[in-house]
Amino acid sequence: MKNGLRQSMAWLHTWVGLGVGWILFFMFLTGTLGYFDTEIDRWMQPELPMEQASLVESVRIAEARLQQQAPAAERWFINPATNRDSPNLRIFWQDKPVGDEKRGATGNELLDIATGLPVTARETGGGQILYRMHYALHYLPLDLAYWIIGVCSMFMMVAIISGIIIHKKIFKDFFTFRRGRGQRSWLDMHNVLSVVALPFHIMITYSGLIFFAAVYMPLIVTSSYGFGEDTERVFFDELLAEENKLERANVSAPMAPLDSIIKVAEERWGKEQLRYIDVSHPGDANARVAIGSHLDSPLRSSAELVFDGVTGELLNNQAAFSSAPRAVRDTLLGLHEGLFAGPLLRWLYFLSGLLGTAMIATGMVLWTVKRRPQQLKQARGPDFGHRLVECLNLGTLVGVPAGIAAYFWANRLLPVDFMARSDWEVHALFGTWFAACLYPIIRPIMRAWVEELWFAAAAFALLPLVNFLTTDRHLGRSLVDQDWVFAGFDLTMLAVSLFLGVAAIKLRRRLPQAALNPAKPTDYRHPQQEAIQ
Amino acid sequence: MILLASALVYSGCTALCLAMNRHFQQVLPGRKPQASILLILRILGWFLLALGTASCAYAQGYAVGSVLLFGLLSAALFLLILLLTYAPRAALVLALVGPVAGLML
Repeated sequence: MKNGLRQSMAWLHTWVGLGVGWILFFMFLTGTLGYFDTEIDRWMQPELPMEQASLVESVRIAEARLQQQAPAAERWFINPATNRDSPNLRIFWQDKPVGDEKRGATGNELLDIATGLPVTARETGGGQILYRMHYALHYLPLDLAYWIIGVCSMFMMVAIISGIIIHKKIFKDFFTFRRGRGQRSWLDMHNVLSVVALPFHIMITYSGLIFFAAVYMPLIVTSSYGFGEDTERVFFDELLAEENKLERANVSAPMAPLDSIIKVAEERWGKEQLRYIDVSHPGDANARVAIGSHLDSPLRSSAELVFDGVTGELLNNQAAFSSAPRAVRDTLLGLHEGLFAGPLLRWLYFLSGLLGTAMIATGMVLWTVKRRPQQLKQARGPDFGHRLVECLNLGTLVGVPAGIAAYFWANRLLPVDFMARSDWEVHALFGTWFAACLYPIIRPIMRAWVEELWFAAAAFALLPLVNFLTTDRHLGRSLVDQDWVFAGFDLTMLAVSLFLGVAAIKLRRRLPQAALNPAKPTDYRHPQQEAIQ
Repeated sequence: MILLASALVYSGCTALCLAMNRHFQQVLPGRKPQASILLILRILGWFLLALGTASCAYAQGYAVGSVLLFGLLSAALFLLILLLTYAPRAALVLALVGPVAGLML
């Protein structure tokens, strides 16, 4: 560590950034894709019907199916297909606990409006698994994953704050990007990406930490609820408890028709405002029906209307806002998830996420660009540590995007009746990432960059073609049908491919011929330092 | 309304950028701006950003409007900085045409 605040902070920024950069890059990229999670779901299950049923009809179908599947359930939950977050009619139920179970068994189905039966579509992790990876990291136990992403997010916060401190000319260089100047340009771009979306970076990192606050600071719950396995669950049950819940009366009673209950809700809120129907103790004398509205602001809780499930009488009108501390938490989480965002704001969220991802990427590249000239001068070639960072940088910065392409490829190419196909989609992602990290071991690093960029560009460019060959929802048809989910997906893949291809061409142009056709392929020193700058 | 808000935010950022000597000459090479011009640009920039803020709030309410404003600022600044480097004239043209288009549509 050096003396002086700026020097200390620069040291901190460099090494903290290096330590957690690879995981953060993965988190930022998969998290950013989460802003289009249901759109990706739809692309990954092209068999699903496009639904245009009325609300009343959807609820009637859902109710009939629930009566048939789970007549004695403790709870029914219906998500009609009324917004982007639930593009298909979904039902969920929870049975009464049996024996010493704490919670009863649950089930859920996507229903086809036309037949009233569950839809049959290929097994896939979809956009949901991709989105989940950014905090659950997939292969690890959840608790461990939460701690890993927590430590990474904490260091992200450290990197943001130290980054602001060491950026001496934050106002003077606010609009400055000098191209074609090697290390200078990388630093300029890193600064630009950090500064233009700084509020987003701070918001997303801080609110990300709030999501798992109870995991990172368990003693706060413990201080009021005591030690033990269940205390956290009790805390959340109480925090999120619905006020109007009753115990089961164990006297059966016919339910009030849900149609008339929905009508009351629509009269209050207007058409298309209903997000879910939550029935507790269906068929019991103490049945309650809660109806929630859409999220139309960053506050991540719904206004709810609570009805008596037997008489259909409106009992309570709960506002979305309940208490100030809870509203602060809900707003932070709501800002993070952006469920309230319409199309334009959703794209802005997506763009901001990409700016954050690129900020991390440029920071990682900067670390190597800065040290490479010095390393190349060494008689024995670059140190092991430097080579490791070079490999992991290339393997992650290009390998993760390529892995995501592989995930989509696997979705289209694995046999539809293959049992473990959703697992293998994920294996394709991580396998590609892993291979991309190993590849630079056998190739000169700059050449490996160009080749991997071309590989990733090709993988994305061919996705619309694979989609054309394996489904009937190709780009031409989506454009004619104005199906913007499918068209948007294919066009985005082409745009990503274009970006990666341009990067490959630009990088290749800067390399001297010697670097591309080295006499000895294993000789690391061939790429001249100006090649990179 | 949202198009107008986006255009106002972009033009506001551009005016504030041009209020800096270095960037003024980047967009209009060979012209040395007077201090008064730079001051006017600065005031104009903040005024346009205030109008942009107001139209975000008008279009989507305070809660969503403020999130929209930050999103638009990030997008506008990033676009502006790329244009400044790769097509400086286009940065200026877009700033002039944007609000007019926003008002007409």
